[in-house]
Amino acid sequence: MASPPTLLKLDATTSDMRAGTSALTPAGAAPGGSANGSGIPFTPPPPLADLVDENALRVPPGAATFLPRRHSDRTGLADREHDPVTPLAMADLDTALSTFRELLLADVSRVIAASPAGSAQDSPRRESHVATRKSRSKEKTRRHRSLSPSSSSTSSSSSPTTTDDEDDRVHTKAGSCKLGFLQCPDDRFAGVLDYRSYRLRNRHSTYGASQAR
Amino acid sequence: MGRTAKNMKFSFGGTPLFNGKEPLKVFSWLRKFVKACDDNDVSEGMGLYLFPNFLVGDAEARFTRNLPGSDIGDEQRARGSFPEAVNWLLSTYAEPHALGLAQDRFSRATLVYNDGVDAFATRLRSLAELCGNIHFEGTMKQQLIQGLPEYLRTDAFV
Repeated sequence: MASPPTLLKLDATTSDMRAGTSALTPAGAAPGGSANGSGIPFTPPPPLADLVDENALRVPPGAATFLPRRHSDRTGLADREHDPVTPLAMADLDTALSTFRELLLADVSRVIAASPAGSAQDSPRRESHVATRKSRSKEKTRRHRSLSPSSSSTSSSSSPTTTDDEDDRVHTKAGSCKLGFLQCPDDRFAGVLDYRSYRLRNRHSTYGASQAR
Repeated sequence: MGRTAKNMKFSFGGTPLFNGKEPLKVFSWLRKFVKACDDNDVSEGMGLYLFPNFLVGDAEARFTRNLPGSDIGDEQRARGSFPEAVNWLLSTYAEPHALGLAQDRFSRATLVYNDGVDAFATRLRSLAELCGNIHFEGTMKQQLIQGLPEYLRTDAFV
């Protein structure tokens, strides 16, 4: 039994083909011609080498610096081989990254500066040390200068809450860092969990164990 | 025990010593201790060493372990001064979760059928004490009325 003419033609084509080429894409087909004479218009795809060249052309010239490169390409030797006119070195990558980083940082700092929380909270914190020191020194000088009875009565009051100076004095004598408040989800317990509400009237810390026993 | 400690015990009255088994009793115990110290003009430096006289059991052992001058100390020295000691007691025994539970028990307390109103009021007081006495007198009264059964509550409002 004789095989159909189309199959014969296909066999003849495959025998002439080089290795690696598809049987459905005859190499000799002319652009705009019909496939195997069936009347269906057929446009052959461009060769692989042309595709690679096209891709290389599609990438904008400046974008090549942002693309991650393999380790072997870091020296720029591969770039020099491909494109000897515009060599890419490590310095280019560093410049591009630093520019990108600067842009990002500028954006972030602009957003933080624009937000009310950032402007209200961050800036006083930076100046808080200087401000508190100044105010404390002012308070101390005021206390030394004023000898009025009102100031003395204020200093000898036995309220449970303490001033910052007294707290500082206690912590300095104890030689420890500032005590942290206990955190409780219910705000009502904040007062009872604060150690400062259990301070004694006599805040001298010089007595030792011998006096207590 | 020195004279100061004895005088303070007298000021302490019938308040039981703190053993840590009922952690939330730390609030009322601390208040009593502070009052006893103030009544006897005890300074903070001295009061730090008087704490163990009013602690028993596990609480006393844990506290004494890290007093300044003690040889043994497995925890970080958190009791170098009176405020630090108070802070340690609060952080150790006044757990926020237990506080929340105590508050919940206080707000849900009701009069049991074989309980008298006086007994209920006493129970409410002790529950409020476990919460660190954060409730005002008005809140206590309101809670007392809310915990009463319907027929008694009507009388209370009249």
